[in-house]
Amino acid sequence: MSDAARNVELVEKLERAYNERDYDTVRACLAADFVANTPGAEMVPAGVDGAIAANEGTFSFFSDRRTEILEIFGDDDRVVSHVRMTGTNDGGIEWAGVPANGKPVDIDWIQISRHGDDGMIQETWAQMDIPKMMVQVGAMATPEGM
Amino acid sequence: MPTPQENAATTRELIQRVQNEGDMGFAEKTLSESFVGTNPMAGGTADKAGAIAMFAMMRAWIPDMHTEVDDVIATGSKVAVRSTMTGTDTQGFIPGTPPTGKSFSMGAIDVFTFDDAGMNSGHYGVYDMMGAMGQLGLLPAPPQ
Repeated sequence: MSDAARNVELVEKLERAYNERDYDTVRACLAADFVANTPGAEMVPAGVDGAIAANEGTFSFFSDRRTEILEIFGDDDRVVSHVRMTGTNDGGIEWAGVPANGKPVDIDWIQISRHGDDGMIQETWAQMDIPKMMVQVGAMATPEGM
Repeated sequence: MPTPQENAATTRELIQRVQNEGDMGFAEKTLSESFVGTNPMAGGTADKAGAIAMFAMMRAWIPDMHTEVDDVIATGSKVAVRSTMTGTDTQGFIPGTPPTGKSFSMGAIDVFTFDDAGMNSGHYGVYDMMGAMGQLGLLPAPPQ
């Protein structure tokens, strides 16, 4: 198996672990000095603990949160994954001042991960469709023309 | 059949010539007639004509917009690009609102698909709009 195929399998395993809140597996996929270059990363601790805190955060907003990988491919030491997340706002999004209101969310993000020689994830970059989520939970009007 | 490296080179040229220089002729030449995009603007269409209209709209929206490519990952028919888009809000970042005159720097990840003839047949992308709006002071204050 090529390194790229091995790295793709690891990202798939990590996404399942986030869904199952299986943090032993999460820790087995992320390097100890893991860095997340994601908007909002400043709201959680650095490194692996921050990744786990961010995942627990989404479960506190949307207790039925589920993700599915829509597309995934890798080359060399990087993997690109396009992920869809669905859930229901039954917990409220504190940082955005949004109360629990039972509204469904259905958003996507694209993540690029960089893997070490051992396959573990050293660094990620992600962009998430936050404005869409804010509109879906009723925190933002649909901006005209956007 | 183009190699991933050839698709990556086409993608870089598309970003430079169309997004940075406004050369819509290059988009006409590079986008497939069966192009499907997944980020059409409100009222826009997901086809080739809609994509070219969006490129033109972006040039009018942020005239000094510049996309700096930070990373390219190409394999099979896919090319992913991580980039930083910078510009100045001189026309009203949120359409219909007064321009702030401020500048922004917005992270972006795009995925392009190429067909067997090396034509760009698909695209989707996600942009840090929230971050850019925050830099421009356009985010509504959270309700207390």
